Amino acid sequence: MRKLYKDSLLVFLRSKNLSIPYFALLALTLAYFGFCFNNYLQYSEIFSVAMWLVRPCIFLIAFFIYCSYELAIKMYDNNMVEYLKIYGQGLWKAYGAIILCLSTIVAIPSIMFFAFVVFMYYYIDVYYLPFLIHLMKLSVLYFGLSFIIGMMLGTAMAAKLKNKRLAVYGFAVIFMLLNTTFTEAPFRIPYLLFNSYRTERMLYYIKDFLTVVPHELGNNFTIAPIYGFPMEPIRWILAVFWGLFPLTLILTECFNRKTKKALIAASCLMVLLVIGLFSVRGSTLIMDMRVDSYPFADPIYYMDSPREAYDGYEAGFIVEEYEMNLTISNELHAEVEVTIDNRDLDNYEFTLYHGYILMSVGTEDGEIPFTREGDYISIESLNGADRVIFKYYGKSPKFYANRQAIALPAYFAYYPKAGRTNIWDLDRYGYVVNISPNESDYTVNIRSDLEIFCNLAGSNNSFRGKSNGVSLFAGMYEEIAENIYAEPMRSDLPKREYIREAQEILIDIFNRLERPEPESVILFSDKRFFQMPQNFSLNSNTDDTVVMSDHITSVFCNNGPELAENIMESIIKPKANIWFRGGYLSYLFNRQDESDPLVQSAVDLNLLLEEIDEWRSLAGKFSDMNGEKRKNVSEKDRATRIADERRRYDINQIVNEKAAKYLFYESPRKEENLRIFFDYFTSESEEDYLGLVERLVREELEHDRN
Amino acid sequence: MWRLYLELKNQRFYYFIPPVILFILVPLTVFATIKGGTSSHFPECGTICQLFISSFAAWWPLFILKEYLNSPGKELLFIHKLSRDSLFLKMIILWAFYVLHVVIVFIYFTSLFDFVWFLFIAIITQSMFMIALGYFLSLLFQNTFIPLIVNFAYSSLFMLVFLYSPLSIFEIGTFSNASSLNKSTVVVIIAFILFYGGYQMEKRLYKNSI
Amino acid sequence: MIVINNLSKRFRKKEVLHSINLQLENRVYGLLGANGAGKTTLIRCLAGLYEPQHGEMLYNNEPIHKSKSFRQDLGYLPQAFGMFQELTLYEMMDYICSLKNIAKSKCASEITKALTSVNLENKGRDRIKTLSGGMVRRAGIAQAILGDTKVMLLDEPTAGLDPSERARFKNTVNALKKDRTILISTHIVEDVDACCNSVIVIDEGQVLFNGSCEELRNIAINKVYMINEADSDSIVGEKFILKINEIESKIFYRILAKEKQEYQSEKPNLEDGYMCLVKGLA
Repeated sequence: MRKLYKDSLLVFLRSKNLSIPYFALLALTLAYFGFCFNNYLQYSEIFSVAMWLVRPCIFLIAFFIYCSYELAIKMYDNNMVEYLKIYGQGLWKAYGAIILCLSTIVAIPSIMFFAFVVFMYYYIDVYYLPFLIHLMKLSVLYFGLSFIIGMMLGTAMAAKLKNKRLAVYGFAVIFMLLNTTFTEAPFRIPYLLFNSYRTERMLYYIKDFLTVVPHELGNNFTIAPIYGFPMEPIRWILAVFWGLFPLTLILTECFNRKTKKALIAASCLMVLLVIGLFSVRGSTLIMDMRVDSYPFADPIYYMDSPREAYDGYEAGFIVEEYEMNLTISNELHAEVEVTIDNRDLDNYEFTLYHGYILMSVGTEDGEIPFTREGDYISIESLNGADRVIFKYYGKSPKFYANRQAIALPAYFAYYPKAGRTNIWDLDRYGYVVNISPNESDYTVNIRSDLEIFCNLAGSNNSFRGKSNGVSLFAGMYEEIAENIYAEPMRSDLPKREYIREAQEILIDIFNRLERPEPESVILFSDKRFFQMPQNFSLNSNTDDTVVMSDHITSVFCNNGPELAENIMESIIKPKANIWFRGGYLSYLFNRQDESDPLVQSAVDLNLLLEEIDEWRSLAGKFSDMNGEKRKNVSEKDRATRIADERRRYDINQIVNEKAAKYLFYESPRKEENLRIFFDYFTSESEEDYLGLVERLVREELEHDRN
Repeated sequence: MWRLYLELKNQRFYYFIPPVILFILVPLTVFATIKGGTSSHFPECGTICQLFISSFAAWWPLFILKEYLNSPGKELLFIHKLSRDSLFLKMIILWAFYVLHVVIVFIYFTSLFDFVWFLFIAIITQSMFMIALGYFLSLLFQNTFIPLIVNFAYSSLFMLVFLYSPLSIFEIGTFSNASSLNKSTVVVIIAFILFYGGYQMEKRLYKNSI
Repeated sequence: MIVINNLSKRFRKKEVLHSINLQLENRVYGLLGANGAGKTTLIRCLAGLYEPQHGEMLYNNEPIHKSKSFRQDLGYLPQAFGMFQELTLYEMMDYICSLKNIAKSKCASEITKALTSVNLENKGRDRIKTLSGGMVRRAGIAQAILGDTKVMLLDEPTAGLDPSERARFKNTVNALKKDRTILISTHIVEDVDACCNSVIVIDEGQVLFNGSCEELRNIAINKVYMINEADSDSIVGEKFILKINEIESKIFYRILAKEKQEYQSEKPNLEDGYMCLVKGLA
């Protein structure tokens, strides 16, 4: 066997069409390392470098398909197969030697990649062991096993397809394209043209089954440091499958009928097993353009669902206590027992995100009937029981929980919450921050391989305490300072001084506003601070910062003023246009850009009022315009419409920025205006904010006239 | 031409991949993109067209070259060759044949967009480049597998990652005026250079390398 | 007539053909030689695939590479044959007709005639990839016959053919040999014996013999002996064991000896003459 292996290696090295491209590839790989390293020197972003490193993965795999096919096919081109078959296991030995030879060939670039990632780890000087382990796993899975997959596929194609080069080329091209975003545009066809989510899901199912790269070429979504590159168990299972399945195909060529049948049976079983496992892969982080992905799943789901507003919904009961037993393996499996205060109601409503499949609802006396409608659970009378047990499992595309990472913030209904509350705000395009007004007692026990961080006190994944919500985080996530939790690999880590500074700024602001600090904000600098994963604001701009009774979650914490402003933004209701609110906050926090011409010049109030009227009239013109009507508009009207839309967009910004600038910066009554609008933003008033703006502006004009 | 017909017929159903891409996938994708957006999305459709149409331009040529470079008894194909039978001329004919298909697709596009001719010219020059590149690399490596991988790798890299790279033959933009064809001139010149280099190798191919 | 004058061909540093001089008329020539002797190289030079470093090849007094009539008159069967696997046999033959510039009106009849001569007339609609190895070889012979070929270069035409197919091949050649120059490259001596008028023996790039089969056989006259194993040591001078036979449990050697021996010599066959030449025992 050793002789055969050496001979195979010699054949490879002496074949110019194999050895020359191979050595050229090694040289290119080294040059590419230089490019990646230079990228790090420029931007100091290790995950960006890692993304660059994995981008050409699919080309390397395609190259190894080529090498292995061309090497193995030499046996068929030179009619050696019949000859080898006459010797005991001669063909299998020959294939074994070829596979060993190719393993040596792919091992060299694999080792190069491995060495480079380890070098980069030590170069960046972070010393965070989980990250090193993550990089090593990345090398093994995507620079090791993936290359072996390429090699095995090429060899298997030589064994089964033999000289059918067209078929081999076709498979190689399809395989390559399926591992890039080449498929993105065509895969949207079923959904965009036929509204068929199912077909799109099926296409992506097939694509995912054939995905052997961690980050598709052309995918511009960034990697979240808490999660890293996808390395869920299913990825490993698929990698092993794509290595073993071609091997069984090769073996069917090498053995006689009896063994061949057994091998075919084994490979069929293997396929079925892996498809089965793949179908129950559970929670994975999908960052691409499909309907079920992190960025799009929830917005599309809620856009298509019936629109119901549950602001001010009264549940009629309070959850006094939660006892949560969670198992986080491939997804979240939960048994949650809630103790409620009011056992006499005829009907109980709970909110639980629709991605969690409710298996049963019960009391101490047994299971009780329930109705599940989207995010809501309706239970009829509890017959005097005060404890309800919910058993469910499932996943959320954004708030993942699996063996790789966990990101379950308290404001998200991953456990049943009292009453009906919206989960998604269509108008604001973001998640509704669902914080319970009351605190409950929590006992949380979690079975997971990860070390989990929680706002409640505890250790070893068991927590207890009183709060108005439970946040759970795990993955490449650590307590980086006392009571501060973040992704250590991030460059913008929070610091205690920023939080304290934010506290002081907010105290000053509330003093300026002559209003009491909300209870949640008092002494918030003493609360636990959880920095949310960096890409959490990708599909939602409503939950950047959330303050709860005992902890804070925030995506960004670059400095004290920014954090203070984010906290204030979470306090005020989103009742006004984003520019107006932004202006309010910037003037409240004295963050205005003094060099901005708008800030420097005086606002013409009469013009402002005219522009408000103009905007209202343009808004009224397009209030019933939809996609269908837009397409049916004539060419001449289309130009007018486009011009009007452009004007509406511009004037929207102008009106709001001017209004904010005048009321909160230029006006002699600016402090009062700030207070008035603070009260407006924190009240339940349904008055249109522009109406309030107009009223205040007219009052000032009247005052000036007088 | 009869021989070319037989060579295309020899590809069996693999022959139909480019027509399926051109006549089914591209129009559907473009139509879906328009339907999914609020405006005509011409730049996005232009990107889709360049990605798919140009990438598959080299499909037929490479699969034909496979017979000349990889099949048993390929030297027989070189014995009776006259100058008019050169592979280079076959590449040009195949390019023209492909352009005819593209013309049909663009006749459909004229019903969707106002002005498509700059995009059309850009695409046919890119197709010429991809065929020239495939031809050149096939003769250089005496192999058609590597050129096939390079063809799709190039398209993937420069349409999905390095969109604005100076090395890219593709154009991202509105194709609303003649300046969007500035790159096309360079692309055509490079295609000619590749064809010339390939032809020089083809002439020597018969003599020494069977 | 094909005249080869002083032909030499080198691949990098290795000289494969040295100063080959041959004159090929309208007969069937067997090109006999060991593996690596230069047979295929010589045939490819004649076919115009290789450019020789020295020498010239003339067809009817015109250099081959300039002669249009040579291309028209040439039929060639390469050592490996099997392109266009997805085409039917008829389509592949049609392709070759087109390559050879055979008039469209004559194509159908030519193809039918060629396929009939190799007994493949019923396989015209079958794809090449469905044909057996022997059938593919016969198809290769058929395409070499297409058109009014005056020169046929067949490289290992009987490789992979079973005995009945080889016999059929011989009959085909015998039927075709009139007014044609046929050069058959092979290392199967029986094939040469059965259908060739002349033999060219080539070894290490040089022509060792060019003559009739009879002349080649005669080289080994009085040099071939059948002796008992026990007597093998008594052979005087250079010798070569051609064959070892077992007759009634006794081992006999058929040997080739350079010098005359005391034993009764055997009547030599073509193989004996060939071995005599290549072993330097002539």
